[in-house]
Amino acid sequence: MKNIDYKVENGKLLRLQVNIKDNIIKDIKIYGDFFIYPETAIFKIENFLINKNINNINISLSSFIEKENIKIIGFSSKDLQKAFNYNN
Amino acid sequence: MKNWRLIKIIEDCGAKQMAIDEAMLVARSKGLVPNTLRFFTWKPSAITLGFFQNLDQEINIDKAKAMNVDIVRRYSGGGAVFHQDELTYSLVVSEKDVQKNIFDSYKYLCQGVISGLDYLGLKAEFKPVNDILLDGKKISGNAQTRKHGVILQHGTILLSLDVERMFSLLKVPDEKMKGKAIANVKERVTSLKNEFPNKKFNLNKLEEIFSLGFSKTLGINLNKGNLIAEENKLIQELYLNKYLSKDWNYKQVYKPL
Repeated sequence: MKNIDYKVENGKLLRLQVNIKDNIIKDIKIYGDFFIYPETAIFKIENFLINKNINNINISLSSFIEKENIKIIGFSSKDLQKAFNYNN
Repeated sequence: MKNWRLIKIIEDCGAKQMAIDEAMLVARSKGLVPNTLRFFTWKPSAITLGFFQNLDQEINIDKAKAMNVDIVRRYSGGGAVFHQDELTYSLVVSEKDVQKNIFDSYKYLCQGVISGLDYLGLKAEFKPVNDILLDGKKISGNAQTRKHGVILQHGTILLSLDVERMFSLLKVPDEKMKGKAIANVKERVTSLKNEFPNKKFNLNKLEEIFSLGFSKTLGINLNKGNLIAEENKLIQELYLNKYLSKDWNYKQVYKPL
């Protein structure tokens, strides 16, 4: 597991605990001071990301979020993709 | 004019306060109680954690224990908050009585706090998404959750802030930056006592003022009331099994019995 702290521009702080192997997400926990409605949708998002390629999640995640009618304040799926590729 | 319930200041610990908020939300969703405004204070001081935060990562747990500061995870998202010298409010309101859009509803519901500050002679402004500022400095932070067609919004009205104490309890992502973080908060946060250094604040008086703020801006009638039996029963259950539990506070997990 590696920890990634990524401050979203004009948004909140994403604090990821993630296990990435060959660009594929094997395990993930998304922490931070953002808002998601409903809150329990975070578990759906985390599940959705398993086995996805970190360079190719933006579009599929944003359509998943829309389909599930999840509202996020503080980051977007694009920010999340950026965070995976951010080294700190 | 719409009739809401007003529950006067309850002083209690963080876990109990969070249980009360959630029980009110459930009772409202079942139509057992009207929309409600309540006020409360924290005894002992507490840190609340946003729903999505990692407790170990945000809070110095040993310090909190040593300083008798409670730690509790909120139902709502957002950041960790140190609650000490403040008046806190909660609103439980049916979604159909407020804008559907989350940004609009924050702005709408925060008017009550802004109006209360106005009665005190302070010109505050709403800063999206969920802050209230005085001359650019934060005096009130607010957080919202929505369940079963009901909005729960709770928020702080800061009386004073002990920044050093707060940062001895809260971790910052980069410990080397702690000094800067402290300076930053001092620069960007204000409080009623900071605005009026010579004034004595009476909590009951403040409660009256902010109640007036909410009733004026929301166009509501506030009728003093109490928690009902169903709420009290649920409060006890949520207090013991959820908000005091390690599962909830450490892992965001709660399975109702």
